[in-house]
Amino acid sequence: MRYSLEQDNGIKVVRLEGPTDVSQALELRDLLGQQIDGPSARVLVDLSDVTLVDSSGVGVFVSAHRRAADAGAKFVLAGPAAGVGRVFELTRTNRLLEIFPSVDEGLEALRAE
Amino acid sequence: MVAEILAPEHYESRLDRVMEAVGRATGHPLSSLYLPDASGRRLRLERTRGQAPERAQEEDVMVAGDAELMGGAGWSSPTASLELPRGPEDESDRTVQTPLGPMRALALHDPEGSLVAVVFTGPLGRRRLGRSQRAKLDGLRQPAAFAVQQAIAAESVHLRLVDATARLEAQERLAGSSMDANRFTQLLLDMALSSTQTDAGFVAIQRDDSGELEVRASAGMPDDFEQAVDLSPQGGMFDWSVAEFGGALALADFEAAARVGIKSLLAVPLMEQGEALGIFALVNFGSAGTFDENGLELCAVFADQIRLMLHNQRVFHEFAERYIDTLKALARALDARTPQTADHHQRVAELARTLGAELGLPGQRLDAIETAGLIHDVGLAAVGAAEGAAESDIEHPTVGASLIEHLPVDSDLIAAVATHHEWHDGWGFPRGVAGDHIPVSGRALALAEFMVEMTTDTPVREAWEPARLVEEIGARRGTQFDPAVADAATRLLKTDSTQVMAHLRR
Repeated sequence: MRYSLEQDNGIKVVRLEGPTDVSQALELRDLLGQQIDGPSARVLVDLSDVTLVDSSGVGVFVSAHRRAADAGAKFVLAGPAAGVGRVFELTRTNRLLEIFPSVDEGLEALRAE
Repeated sequence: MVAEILAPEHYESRLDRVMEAVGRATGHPLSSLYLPDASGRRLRLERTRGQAPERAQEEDVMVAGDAELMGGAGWSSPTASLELPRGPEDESDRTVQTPLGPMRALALHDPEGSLVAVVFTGPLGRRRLGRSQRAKLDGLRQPAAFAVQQAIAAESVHLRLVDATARLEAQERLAGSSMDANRFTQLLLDMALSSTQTDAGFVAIQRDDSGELEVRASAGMPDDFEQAVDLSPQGGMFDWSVAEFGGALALADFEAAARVGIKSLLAVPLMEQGEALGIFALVNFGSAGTFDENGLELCAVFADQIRLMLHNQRVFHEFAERYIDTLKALARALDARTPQTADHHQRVAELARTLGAELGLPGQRLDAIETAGLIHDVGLAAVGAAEGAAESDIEHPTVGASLIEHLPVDSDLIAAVATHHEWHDGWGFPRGVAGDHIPVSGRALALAEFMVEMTTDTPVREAWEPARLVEEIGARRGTQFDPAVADAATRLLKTDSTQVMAHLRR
């Protein structure tokens, strides 16, 4: 799992790449946690280049979602490939997480906040 | 049931997608997919997509040597069932003459070089395939071979599952026990692991009382897994928002997962109408990222099957509990018919449990003995006195046991009802079994019933006092009663007769 950070008009875009697994989960959780640094934080995770997500990856996103909800910040996911989207469905976390089909739609929604 | 869930058309639609991709790459109107058969000597037509153009059939029909092998006019019929002899020439791409004109045969191999399938695409018409079409076809080769392989693997799992379900259903009709449900859960888990090529996995069910997850089946997990991780709903290994978000399930304790060596895992919540049944988890220790899209679909299929299984089991258990409650009420109604039998079942149940505890039996067996006590004479209701009181009396243990023998209940419970009039020396009824052939639950119940009856006043006999009871039990020790059970009863009467007699006399 690799990542890069960008800013898009005050929105923090975390671009992830590769598969997620248990060994990187803590690091990824800390990384996302650092982005959610206050009630005004707006964070988008770009999943376009994520090949696979397992329950640990899902767990990282759920934990970030909860952290953002507690802080009054916004945390969204965007652009999951079919397989990654299927994992959110199977784990029923698509009911909890905010997931946009594309990064543009995700950014648009965050800008509108 | 399984057939519907596994959607058998899935297999065909997967193959169709492969052929549609070939059709798009070549622009040809027709494609057919042949699979090598088990003998390795023939290729069998599995699917045909598209329609041969009318003109091609009329103008381009060629009769060459190969055309005979193609099955003649069968090409125009997408449903035709055809076989071709398989030869070394099928191992590589070639052009084949058919009644519809020349077709291109695309040989698909797995990474080890074994032939997976041959796709015929055409008719080629007068133009040869262009360079870009050939390049597209070459690009398709590996994914197409993989997709066909996956379709075949999924289909074989499907067939095995259908077979296993049929066998299980037959077994369940015979035995009706919850043991089979557990075995089937284990079987489903094993099949899920082999078909998704996952290292390990487990199925955990949610306990009704505590909400804790209890591992019901597992394969390949470390022995101490259940002790090493916390599967409680709050603050445990998983974050499971059942009430809040309809069962969203995610890994929460990454350290705990890493501690037991888990590299990646996919845990799927098993829900039925908003109610949590349990979770189904696939686990990899060595390498991450083997849950590909196909693996995910297989996982979904197995999760669904296990969910159905657990749901059916739960429904069946609830039914069994309500049914037993009905039998208890029936037994109470029987007791209420005369003053000397009032509370008979309740008293026998309490005393049998006390005897079982004195014998050192574990809690689960004590529960079975107590329930058996509450319904042991219910068989008396089945045969009316008018039809012959003596007959109904002799058969009532068998009749009582037959009322519950198909339920998913403790076998001890059924056995206790069936044997509570058997004697240690084999002179009891209805079957005349002796000694160890009578389960300890039946032996305890027999003595408990004797003690309750003999300490109750009847029109023909006054209730016995504790001393008389001790004496009579001693006299019947080793003949009517199991010596160990008789000794336990005697110990109880001698050390705390007031408490025992309180059970007996109301």
